[in-house]
Amino acid sequence: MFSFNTPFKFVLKHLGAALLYAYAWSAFAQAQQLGVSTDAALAQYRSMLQDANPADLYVAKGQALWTKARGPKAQSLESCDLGLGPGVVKGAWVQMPRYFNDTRRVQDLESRLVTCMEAIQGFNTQEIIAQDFSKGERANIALLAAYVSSESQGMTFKVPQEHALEREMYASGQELFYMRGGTHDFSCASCHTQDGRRIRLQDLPNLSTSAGAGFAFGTWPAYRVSMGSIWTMQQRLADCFRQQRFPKPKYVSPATVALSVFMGVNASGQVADAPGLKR
Amino acid sequence: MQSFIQKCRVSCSTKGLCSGLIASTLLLSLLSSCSWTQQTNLGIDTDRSVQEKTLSLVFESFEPKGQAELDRLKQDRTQQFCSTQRGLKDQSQLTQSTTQDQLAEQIRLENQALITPPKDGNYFGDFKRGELIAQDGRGKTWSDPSESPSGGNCYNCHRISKNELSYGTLGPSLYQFAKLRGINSAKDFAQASQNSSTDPLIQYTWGVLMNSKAYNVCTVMPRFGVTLNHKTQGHGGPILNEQQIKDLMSLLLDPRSPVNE
Amino acid sequence: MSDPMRIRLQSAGGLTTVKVLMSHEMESGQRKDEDGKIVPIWNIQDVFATLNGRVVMSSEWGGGVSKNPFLQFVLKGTKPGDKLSITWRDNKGDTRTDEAVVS
Repeated sequence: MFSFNTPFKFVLKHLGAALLYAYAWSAFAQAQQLGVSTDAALAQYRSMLQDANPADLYVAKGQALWTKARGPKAQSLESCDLGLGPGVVKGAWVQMPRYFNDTRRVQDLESRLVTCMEAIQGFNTQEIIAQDFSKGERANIALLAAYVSSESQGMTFKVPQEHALEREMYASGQELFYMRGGTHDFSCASCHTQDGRRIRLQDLPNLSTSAGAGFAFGTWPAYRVSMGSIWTMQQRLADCFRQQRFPKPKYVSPATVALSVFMGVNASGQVADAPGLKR
Repeated sequence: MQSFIQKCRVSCSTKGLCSGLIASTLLLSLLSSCSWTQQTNLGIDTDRSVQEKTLSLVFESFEPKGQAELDRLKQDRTQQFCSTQRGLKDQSQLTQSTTQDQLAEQIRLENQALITPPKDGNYFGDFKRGELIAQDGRGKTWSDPSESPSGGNCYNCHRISKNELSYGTLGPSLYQFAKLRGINSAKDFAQASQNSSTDPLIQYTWGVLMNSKAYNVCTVMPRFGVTLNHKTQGHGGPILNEQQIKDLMSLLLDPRSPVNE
Repeated sequence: MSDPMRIRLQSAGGLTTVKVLMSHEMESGQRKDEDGKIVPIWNIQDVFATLNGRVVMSSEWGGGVSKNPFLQFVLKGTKPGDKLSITWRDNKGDTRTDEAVVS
């Protein structure tokens, strides 16, 4: 049997501890709510990485390649027309893919670089297409892509839909985007049509929306930390198809360009931020 | 919710016309040479000519590599049907539609018919092996040898075991799968597995692992256990073999599994 | 001749944050090439910084630093006009120095 005083003393004696415990618990609960979620921690890590994007080193190399006389014809790429006139690099990338009169087809950046490398410098297109990514002239194209895309940094996407072929390519790109196939029934849409989803810890942009398409289309080419090299959009698409269990897309083939038209047009008005930095 | 959009792809140019004529010319071209896209309750259906053009573009643009042959691009009925469903926020809305219900249901039943029970009547395996299968993302790509077994790559999309934090969010969490569905103890589990062939949870889990499209016809989840009955889609058998499916069953349903901790 | 480093200096109130991006392959000596042969070690071993000719930071790097290393450190007591130089030396005897001016 307790006297009147004992419970009171008990409470007083333990009040401090009780209050402390209550405070700690509420602090913990609050921290849990605001707290460092997996997403927040990842975002913090990535913003720390942004500080020094090794892609900058590759942009400089790409710029050197652009102005260097190379290939069987020993010419530089300075007369290459990326859509805004011969040699105009600034702002060209945010208006690609587009229709080109000389080749009479819609071309993305890499397709157009290959055209210029053959027509102006004398390189062999079939050899470039047969080559593996990150090797030989394909490695040089990645550097050139890093440079050209950097010259559109901060500009908004204005991928044209004036020419009939540009519009057809958008429609085909959209069709392919939603095409279920392969052993796993995957389409691009399987992973890229919802907000806020991820594969393992890799966030997936929603390419059917302006913001998602703008982010994805606007940050490739990118320096891929895991690979220690620049990956272009063509390379990113090819690896997507590999993981979709599809057969291999040919380099700069119409289907790959169509997908870029689809993403690029969806990205209209969004800001380009290439070359990006990826895991 | 879904927004119903009607799109018209004008394939004729209207350049060089003065503004006064533009309206009427546009109207005429819309009526005569436009390719309309149809709308349905499910989303936006596609136009036949665009489909055909795209298919020929696709076949011209891809080449076989490793075990990935071009026949992987030949779609079966499920893939064809589900390719036309788009513009939806959540693919799971598909089966709630009223318009293409019948076709969806037909295809769902076709998928259901492919599911078979385990040959020896035992639905379970080893959950430790199941965890390895769930972690393994290899198999069936052009960089995988065709003889090597595939993994389920389940962590790509799902949260599964308690301690694995590197999980995706494309699919629902499977953490505490059995616990949340009434199997809380070894006794519950023994009871359920004794009546495997009629236990609804065991049948459902087996069915989804074998052929997810039998439950949600356009789900993103691959059809892991069934040989797709399509002659031109010769991908050398199911993604996972029967033992692997059993191991995954144990991963999900065995109360001792890290999933149900 | 190796590629230039990219040096960025951010100064405020006598403190300068130095950020350096170096261009170097940094082979650990553990990686195998396509034919299964070990790719030999080729990495930066020493890095030091001088301010107006006086060494203010020196470091010895072991293995495990990745390709295109990024280095960041803070200097106290800098003033506008101070000349900062960063030098690296690798195991092959190559060396590179780049400079920047505190603004």
